[in-house]
Formats: sequence, C-alpha cells, structure tokens
Amino acid sequence: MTQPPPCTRCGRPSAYHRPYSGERLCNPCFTDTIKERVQRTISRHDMLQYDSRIALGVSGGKDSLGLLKILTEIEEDHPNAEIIAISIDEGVTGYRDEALTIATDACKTLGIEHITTSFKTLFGLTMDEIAASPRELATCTYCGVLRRRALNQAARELEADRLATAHNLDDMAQTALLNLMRGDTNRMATLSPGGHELTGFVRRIKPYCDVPERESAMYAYLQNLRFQSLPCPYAAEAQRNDIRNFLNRMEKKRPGTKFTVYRTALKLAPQTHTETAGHCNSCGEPTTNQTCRTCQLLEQLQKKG
Amino acid sequence: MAKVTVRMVGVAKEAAGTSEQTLTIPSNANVSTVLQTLIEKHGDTFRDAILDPSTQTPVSTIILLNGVETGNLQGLDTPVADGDTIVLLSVTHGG
Repeated sequence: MTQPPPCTRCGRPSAYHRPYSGERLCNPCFTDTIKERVQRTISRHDMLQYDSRIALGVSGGKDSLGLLKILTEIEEDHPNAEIIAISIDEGVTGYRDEALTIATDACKTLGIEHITTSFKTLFGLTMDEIAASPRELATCTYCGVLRRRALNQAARELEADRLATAHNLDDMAQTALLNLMRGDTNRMATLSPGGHELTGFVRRIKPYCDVPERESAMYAYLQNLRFQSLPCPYAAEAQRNDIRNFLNRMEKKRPGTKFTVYRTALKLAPQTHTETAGHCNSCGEPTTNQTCRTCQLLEQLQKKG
Repeated sequence: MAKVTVRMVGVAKEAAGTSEQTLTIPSNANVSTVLQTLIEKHGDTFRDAILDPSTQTPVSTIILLNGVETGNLQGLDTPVADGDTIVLLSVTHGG
C-alpha cells in the first residue's frame, strides 16, 4: 500500500490532507484541530461567558452533532455554563423523523437536556403542507424563516442568553455569495459569527463557522457519531445548491476559496448592526419591520391557498 | 483479480441501497477503477450521488483507503490491493 506522509503536527503517519493549509494530519491531530478551531472562534468573537446558558439548535445532522460534542467537552471546564439542545420538527415526512431520533439519542448519551418543538405546533403548518401549497418562493425560504423564528422563540422561553447554530464554513461562504448575487449587502451583517445584541432576540452565535463542511463530515465520522444520512427532499429547489457546487469546484481548483469568500463578506458587512427591533403588528414577536417576515410568509400562503 | 470491501456512508449508501459490499476488480486497479465499477453496478443515481455534475469528479465525497483519505495519497490514481477497504463518505447530508 502507498504510505502516507508524516503528520505535520506529530510525525505519525497522516490520514487527512488539508489543501488550503498544506497540513497533513493523523486522525487524533485532525480531531484536535477541529476542537481548537472552534475554541479559537469562540474566543475571537467573544461568543461565550463562563456562565452562558446556551441553547443549541440540533438537527441531527453531522454539523450540529459535532458541535454538540465539542461544546459539551468545552463546557466540562466551565461548570457554571449550561447547554440545552433544541430540535425543530419541520414536518418533512421520512426525513426529519430519522434526524429527531438521532438528536434525542445523542443528547441522552451526552447528558444534555433536549427539547423539541414543531412547525405544526407553532405555525399550524408542516413543511410538507407548505411544499404542497401554491406559493411564490422556494421551500427553503419558508423553512429557513420559520426555523429561525422557532429557534429564537424556544431559546427565549428557555431563558438562554446565547443561541448557537452549527453553520459551517460552506454555509457561510454560500450565504455570502447568495447575498452578493441578490445585491443584499445589509444581510451580510447576519454573517457575523458572534451575533448581535438585539431586544427580543437571543444572541445568535456560530462557533462552527470556520470548519469546512468536508472536515465536519470527517470529524463526525472519526468520532463515530451517528448522524442523518439523507438530504432534505426539498433541498434541490434551492439556489444554494448551485452555489454549493460552484464553490466546491472552486475550492478543489483553488484551495482556500471558501475562507476567502467568507472573510471578504465579513469585511463588506456593515460594521455595526444599528437596526432596532420593534414588535410585529400581527404576532407581537420582535422584528425590524412593521410585520415580521414569518407573518408575511404565512399570510402569503393563506392568500394563495 | 483483487477483492476489496467498500463501505458507504450518507447519500452514497442511500443511492447504492447498501452500506457495504465486496467488489472483485483487476489486480492493477486504482481508486478510480473502484468508483467506475461501483457506478456500472449501481447506475446513474449512484453516479450523481458521488460525482460533481459538471466535472464528474468526487468533490463532495471523501474517499478513505484503509482509513487514509485518498487526497493524502495519490488521489484517484492511488493503487488498490487485494483485501483493502474503501469508505465513501458523502460530505453533504441532511441536517
């Protein structure tokens, strides 16, 4: 068999090559670097306090389960900090069921409190029903807006002071390009991984933002994490898919592209988030508009239906 | 001829309908040969699950040969020998 070169860190035979940094890493060193990177991201963006009450969105996918494991390990050194996992059942038959079971089992194994809420309970509709309705927008648009609302609401009810999500580097770079292609520079501010303090919103943090999706998958595999294997049946509709394929090809050709796109987007983002939240005229939830995006989308669906 | 074990995780597993199989390949085969053999066996759905639609290369699939990522070896040209184990780990899953 072809012998791999030595690990850049420890000299043992390597198992993984990072083209963007030139590192070749054995499995233990690879695993260490992922945790170290998350710790650096948390520190650099001042994401957590020693006593933070962290609500973590856990979908049952590789990213959220990897982040759950790493945050749980970090929390062991901070006994006053707490993690509560939140799963949202969007109501996608045959897809979310598997993931929710996986999320529940993972939380049980790690001893993490876990709550589940659903689109049906909160909004009276499942994603299957939304997907089958006459509508103007892609399913992912509805799902993204409703999930953000559901997570914020659940985190607020749990009195969490941070809402962590497991967006990885690929997610961030894709969002950056999507915003650019839509000419929406204001939304670049949402890429800020440390989040913003805004009345009514639990501060959102993205500690996994410097972990490429490829490495997230490798980490989950090496940690023997059981994670959801199926992609969402509605994902093919999303413009994000085209961007994902494009960025993957560019990364292969020009390693480091995803980091560059994301870092550049952060430079373009408004440096301060100056919007002040009011309350939605319809539901009373915090919003920067008169009617929140959730109510706008739900009203559109009702009118079309 | 050589016998290799192929394990699949994620979309590749769903597309192949199995998580593990044994393949018989020529003795001078490489990783690319294994992928082609699998595509011939499992068809277009499987091909679309492991290869990028434009470049027809596995940019969103991590391929491990005996636990070592093939990008750390000779990529698709890495030789495969009798008794080797290959893992196809899809990068994009649900979640």
